Amino acid sequence: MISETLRNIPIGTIAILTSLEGNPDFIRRLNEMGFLPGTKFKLLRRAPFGGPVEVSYGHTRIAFRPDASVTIHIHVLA
Amino acid sequence: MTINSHIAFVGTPNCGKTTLFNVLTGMRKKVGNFPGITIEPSLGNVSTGEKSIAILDLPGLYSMLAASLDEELTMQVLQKGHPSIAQPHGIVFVMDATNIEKSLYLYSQVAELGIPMIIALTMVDGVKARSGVIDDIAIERLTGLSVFPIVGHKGIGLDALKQALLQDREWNIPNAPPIFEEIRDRVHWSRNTADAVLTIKEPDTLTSRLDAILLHPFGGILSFVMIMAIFFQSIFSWAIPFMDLIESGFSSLEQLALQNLPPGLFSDLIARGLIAGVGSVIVFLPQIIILNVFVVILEDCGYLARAAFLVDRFMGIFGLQGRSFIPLLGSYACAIPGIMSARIIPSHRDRMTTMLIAPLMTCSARLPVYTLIISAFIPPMIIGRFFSLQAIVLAGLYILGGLTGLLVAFVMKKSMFKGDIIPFLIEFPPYRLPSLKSLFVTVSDKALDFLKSAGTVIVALSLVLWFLSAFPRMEFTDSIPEIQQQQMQLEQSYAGQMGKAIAPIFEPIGFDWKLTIGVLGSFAAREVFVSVMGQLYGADTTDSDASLRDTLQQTIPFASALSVLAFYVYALQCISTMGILKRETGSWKWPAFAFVYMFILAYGFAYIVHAIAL
Repeated sequence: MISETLRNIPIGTIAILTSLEGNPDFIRRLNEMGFLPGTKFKLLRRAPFGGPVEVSYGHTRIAFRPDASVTIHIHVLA
Repeated sequence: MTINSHIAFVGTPNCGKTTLFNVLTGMRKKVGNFPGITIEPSLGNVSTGEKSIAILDLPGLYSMLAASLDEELTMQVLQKGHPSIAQPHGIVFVMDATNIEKSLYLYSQVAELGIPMIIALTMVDGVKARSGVIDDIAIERLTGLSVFPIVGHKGIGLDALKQALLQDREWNIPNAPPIFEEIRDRVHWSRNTADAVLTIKEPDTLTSRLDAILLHPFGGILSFVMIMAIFFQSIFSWAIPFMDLIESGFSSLEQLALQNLPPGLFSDLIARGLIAGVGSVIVFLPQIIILNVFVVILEDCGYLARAAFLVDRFMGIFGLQGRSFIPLLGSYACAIPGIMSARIIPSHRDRMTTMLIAPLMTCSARLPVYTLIISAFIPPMIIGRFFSLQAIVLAGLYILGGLTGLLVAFVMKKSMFKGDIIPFLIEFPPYRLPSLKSLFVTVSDKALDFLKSAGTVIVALSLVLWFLSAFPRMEFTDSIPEIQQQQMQLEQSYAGQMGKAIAPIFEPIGFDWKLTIGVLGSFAAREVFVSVMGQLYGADTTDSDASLRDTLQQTIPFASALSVLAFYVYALQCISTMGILKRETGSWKWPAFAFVYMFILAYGFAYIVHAIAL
């Protein structure tokens, strides 16, 4: 298992979210949407020119801006 | 307006809440004007012969810890009541069967309030389409509430829900949910509960197939550009025939009134004041309707969330989010429907910023002014064999408006609307067919709302402008030609006197008193500049602009003409836009602010252009 951030991994990667650091409101909202440490997710796509990313987990698909205010640590599974 | 006794519709975003609300309440909606509230909840009625219940559609939310002002409103109403909206005596909790986990998360918080509730379970057909089963009996057992499965577009379950709505005093208080220490616990509870009540066997293949195209790095951008081109084309050109029809209808009505009423002040008031004023409101309807049909379809089918995803990066450069794109594009046709469509932006700060820069987009009313001045003063040279200088100047003015708007947004987001509460975060709903009935209800509500609240302001202000240009009256002998009579009347009127009085203010940017009156007259609508110029220079504008163009060319200095162009790029000369800004922000403060900052921009830019051109 490799520790990575969301920025560098290829599309289609399956990973486990290990930690979220930074903007507490953003983190709270991500958590409320079910995107919590321990969640296994898939990186579905990135918007062009470094825009938002889309991830899926369970029955949920969310897209968010990988904002500089939040650091997202993940463990790549596949 | 205050609401005392009502039932609230509560649910997550995209849960089908508003569609259900529209289908249930139909066209009997009141548009509330609640003090201190910018995103308004809609209020409707459900009734049978003997009883009528007020129901309120509150903005959707994911959790009772608000992340935006709009969610805060919902929370405040539910928890203790808002100064103008009492706490509801009952809640219809709208639960999306295909997204049951998020719905249960919110439910667990709303249940803590201890308000009597029933549950409307929507999108049941969406679960069946994926060979799934939703166990509504298990949800009833868990919550202690009555659950009403609904298939909205087929109307299944609506009657039962309506009956239940009317027996609102017999609803149960929900079973006390478990006590959660942390968000994580609540998420796990809703996840486990969701797994227990819902099984979905097949993935949503339609949605993933469509997304493979519509969100593809190239295909996605291409389809986005195509959809936006159709959207822009529709509000820009498809509306024109209808607008022409309305305009010619009202101008014949005006002629009819002038011919058939005894000549004098009264006929002038009816024709040039009232009929022209009402006409200037109705003329916006085609664009408002077309734009809203488009926005509602894009939103209800699920594309709007995707479009926001695609343009978020670009809008992010200027501190805005993806959803601001639609109102701004719409404002290129007309700022009024554009500002109204800014309601799709969930974040209050982004919505305010978007509305305040919308009038900087080059709306179609600027076009007659641009064409008149450009054709009179910019030589029809061809540059590089292909591009006409006139076209380049026109395109430049169009781009300048939009670009400046985005820069102003950047500044606003760095200062007065500083700080995102949360960065862009959106859930992709599955693609769905929009409900036609709900579409019809929403669009006609918006149109009626515009006619009632913005329309009255616009008509009133038009009458004021008529008064200023028609008084004090002058007496004419019949020997003076009518064109000259109009010219003298306007010159001597209050508007004319004001123009002359404030002309010194405009002198540094090269406007004489005639141009100043033209600018004042434009406050009714920018294109009025052309007819005011026609009256002032005694040129007939009814046949063609050619004679006016020649007159202007001979009498206005080149530098002043360029200065007029520069001024019209930025100045907020549109009482209708100011009326709608007041309507949408709830206060005259914001249209006043927009007017002042745009005036400073316009004056400054015109000053620079004038100084350079001299």
